Amino acid sequence: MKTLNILQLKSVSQASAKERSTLKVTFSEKKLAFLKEKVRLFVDKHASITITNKNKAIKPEDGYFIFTINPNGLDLIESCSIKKYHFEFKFSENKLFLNSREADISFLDSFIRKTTTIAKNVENDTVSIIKNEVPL
Amino acid sequence: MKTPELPKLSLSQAFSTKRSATAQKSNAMSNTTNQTSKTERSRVSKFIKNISDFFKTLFKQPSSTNAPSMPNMTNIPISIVSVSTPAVDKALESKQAIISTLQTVFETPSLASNTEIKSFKSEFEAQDFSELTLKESQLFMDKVQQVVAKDSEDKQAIISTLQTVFETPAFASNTEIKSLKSAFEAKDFSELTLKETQLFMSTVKQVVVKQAKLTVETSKQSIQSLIIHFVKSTHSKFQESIAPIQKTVMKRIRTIQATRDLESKFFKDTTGSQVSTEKGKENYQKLLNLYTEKHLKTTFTTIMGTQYSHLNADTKDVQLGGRQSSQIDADIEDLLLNNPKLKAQYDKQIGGLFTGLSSILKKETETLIKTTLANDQTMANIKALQVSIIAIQETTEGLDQANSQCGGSDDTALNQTFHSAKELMTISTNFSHFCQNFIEGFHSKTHIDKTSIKSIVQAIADSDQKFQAIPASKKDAYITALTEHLNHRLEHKKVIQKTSQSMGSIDTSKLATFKLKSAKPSTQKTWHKLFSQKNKFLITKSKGEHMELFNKISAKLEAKIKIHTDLIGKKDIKKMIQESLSEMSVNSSHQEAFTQYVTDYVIDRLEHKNTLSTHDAGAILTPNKTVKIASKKPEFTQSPLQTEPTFKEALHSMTPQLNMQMKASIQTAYNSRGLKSKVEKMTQQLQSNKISKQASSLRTTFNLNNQRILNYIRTKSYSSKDAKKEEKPELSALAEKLSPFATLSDSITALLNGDSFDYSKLASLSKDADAILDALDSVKHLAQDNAERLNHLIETVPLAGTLLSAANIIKHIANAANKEDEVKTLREMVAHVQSEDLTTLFDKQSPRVETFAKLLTSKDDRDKSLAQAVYSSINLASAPLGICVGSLLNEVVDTFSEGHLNIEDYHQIAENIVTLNTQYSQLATKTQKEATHTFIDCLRQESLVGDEDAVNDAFVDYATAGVDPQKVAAEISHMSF
Repeated sequence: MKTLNILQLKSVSQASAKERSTLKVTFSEKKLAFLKEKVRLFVDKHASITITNKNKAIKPEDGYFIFTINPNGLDLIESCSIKKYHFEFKFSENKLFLNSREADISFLDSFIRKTTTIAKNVENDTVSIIKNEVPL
Repeated sequence: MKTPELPKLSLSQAFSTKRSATAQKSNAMSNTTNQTSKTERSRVSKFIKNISDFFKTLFKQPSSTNAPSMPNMTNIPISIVSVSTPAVDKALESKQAIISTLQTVFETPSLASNTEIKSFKSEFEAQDFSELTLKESQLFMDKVQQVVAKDSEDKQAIISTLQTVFETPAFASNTEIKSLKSAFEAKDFSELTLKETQLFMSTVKQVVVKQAKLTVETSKQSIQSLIIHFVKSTHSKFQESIAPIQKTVMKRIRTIQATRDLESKFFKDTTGSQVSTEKGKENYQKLLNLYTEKHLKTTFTTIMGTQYSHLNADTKDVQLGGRQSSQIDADIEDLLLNNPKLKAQYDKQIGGLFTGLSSILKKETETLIKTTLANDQTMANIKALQVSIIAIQETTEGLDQANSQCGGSDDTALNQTFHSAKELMTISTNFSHFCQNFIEGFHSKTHIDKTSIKSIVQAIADSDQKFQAIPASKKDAYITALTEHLNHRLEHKKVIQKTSQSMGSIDTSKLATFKLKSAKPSTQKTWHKLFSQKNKFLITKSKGEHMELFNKISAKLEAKIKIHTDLIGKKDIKKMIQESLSEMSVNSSHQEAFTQYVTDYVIDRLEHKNTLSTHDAGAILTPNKTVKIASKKPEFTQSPLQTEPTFKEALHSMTPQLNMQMKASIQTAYNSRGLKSKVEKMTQQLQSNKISKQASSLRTTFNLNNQRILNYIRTKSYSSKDAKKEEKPELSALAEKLSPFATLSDSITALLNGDSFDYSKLASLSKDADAILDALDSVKHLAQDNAERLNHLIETVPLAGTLLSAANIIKHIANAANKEDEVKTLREMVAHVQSEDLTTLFDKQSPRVETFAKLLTSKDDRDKSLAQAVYSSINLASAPLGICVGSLLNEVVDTFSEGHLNIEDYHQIAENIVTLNTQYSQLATKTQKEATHTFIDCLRQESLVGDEDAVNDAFVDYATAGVDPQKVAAEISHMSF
């Protein structure tokens, strides 16, 4: 039985330490192309697909999210009371933006967490899935 | 480089055959599918999940494709996770393989403490696998696999978050984080149980919270010290300058009102009885105030502190015009029982008095309104800074609470704490920088350097035809040469500070000729302790206290200063003085006082001789100087700018625009200086007016106005009062007489602040006090002939006010039977008013205002000398925080009987000046919530550089709307998903 290779983990950690502080949320060309292709296939002939709980929110002050997947990128708006997060991953720039500012890797976790929660919500049928025929 | 393995399988699966099937179905779909099928939901969910996983790979890959090759974390063979891979799936097709895998899992130490695994282990041990089908075995295996995967995922998530924490620059410099990072790197997490990993994470979490709190505390300390310094050294001087304006205008209004003795008529008209009641008196004063408001509008509302009360918050362009006359008339009519006849009578008798007055009062009322608004704006800004940092600090308590509530059982807790802490640190650090810049000025906005010059040059050149004629290969050389020349020219002409200079740096070119000892009589007089004082026949009449010692070390000290080439500060000079004393083997009991005095002298001397830079590189020194671009010096005439024909033509063509743009940039940079500079400028204007001997001085204007107003009243009034004579301007001689005692008030302030006091010196101090009082006595006759009282007169003489206070205190202590008891009493009184508690600095509930009121009412019970000393002490104590309120209140007692101003009037003035008008927020054009959101959002940026204007605008809206600490805290702490 193989075990968690902590030595390898450590070496990765050390080797990436210098890079980490300035790491941007950017994919290699190959990975980006892969993601774009998958998104294109997912969206298919629609302009975009939006997943949102806005219509299902009980109270407006509880907040809502709007996650839009389109061939140009991913767009996630989460609004909660007076706070608003707007994540955008633009394929053209290969960058993640948070509230119109380029986000570094320390913000990525928040984005992942939000998308994971959305995925769970989709499964639980607490959201609407909207297929947009025309661009938003 | 090895390309990181992509989660192809998952993504491909998400869009495989199911996608096509669903896509076909969705072709017929309308836009919204609320009733999405389970399959479709599953497909979308899986796709999003895969996107998350895809982004997760970024945590594990090098930043760019060019990065050096390194092992890929996605390839780390984590068997307990990889049980879901097809290879393992295949292997698990045999029962034996399943049993073997389960055995390994149950023997893994890091999983041993997992309760679910324990339970599976018991089940496994009790199970006879030979009786189970392959499918049943696989089912069992699946269950175990899920628990193992969950355990591993949880651990992996924690490790990943920990890595992010350790690599975040804001935490990287913390020593505790550093040591935890080393421990993290040395740890073999495969051998740790989830609980042990969580325990490690909990330790990291605590350190993160501690670091955030420390950062916020440090920012708070620095902001508070900045604010105290600003209030004491700058704003208080401004407030002191506006106090006389407020007093004069208030007095003016009361004098005008008092000329109409219609009180008994009013009682009779409104109640039918001439007997006065409290309510009746109050209504009469209300009536007078309403007529005053109607005719003097903003002048009156400003002096009563109600200038912001009637603003329409919806109007974007806010004017302080006050209420409409019709609204005021309605209130007057109410007071006059809605009787039109009475209204007409009073309009004539009271209202008529004011008609035409506002034009006479125009200039001083403009000054009053402008200065009061500026004072309120300054206070609102400072209060906003002060309240915000307290609110930011309060959110760290929330961080603690959230930390304990989360329990820290999973990486979400660490993540939330980490992100909250990181954001809080960014906000507080940005806020600290903003405070510094807001008060002192943003560097990029207030300085001119080669970069800013180059951008101007380039912009003009781009649209210049002659520049286009320069060969492309030489264009850059032209831009560089012109930029260098302009920068050198501005530095040389002292328009901007030299690049080589910084704050406190020494101009070495001037050091060679620097003489420490001044030969100028006026300087010697100012620094009298270091020099002998001579009469007009140059015969020495007195020797300075430190003269002998100073003479002994001056040559050595001068030599030390001359060889100093770096930045110089008070500490360096003190050190040089101490070294000089020690090298000359001087030992004196006054060494400390001597060192302090000489240090101040040296700094003053270096600054005066332009040897010490008080500006950093690029700062604007003389904003209005016109500098010609062309120079007659060979550095310019023989430079390519003149020798190269195309360069020369381009420069000639660009010169008019360059002149214009450079001048505009310099002016902009000068005017963009921070709040401190703006308040200093206003203070200088007011003070120069105040002490000016010119007829145009503000006070003289006021007195001339007084004369005009009294004449005006005399012609209009039924019972005019005697006009008082104009102030004589001979007081300037008094300043000369008082200058040798300049430091006396500092000694007494130190005594009141609790410093040890040498009672043996009292006799000599008392002598100085007598000399001061004699000097002031010599101008007393002016008061008898003058409209203003002596206290008013001495306000126009620099130092006289504080020296009178100091002299009064010394005389009181010297004459007291028990001197130490008297000092104790005075110190207690001072302690009441000398609060540096910033939270109450601008509040109307400030104990200072209350203390003054108590002192005032209890004055009759006190010994007159003590009362005088107490007011004097308050003057000295309150001066750094604002106006000389002691003097103001002392005067109340004296002037009360004259009926000019009453105690409420003085309280109103004190409130106008030292507290922030609660209605000020009426000026706001944004709601508190909006303004808070916008400003705090600006602070969340990684850096404020480049966004200074936006941040400044957001802050002004935020400060004007009034800062609500709860809203700030809510805005900051609202961070979680």
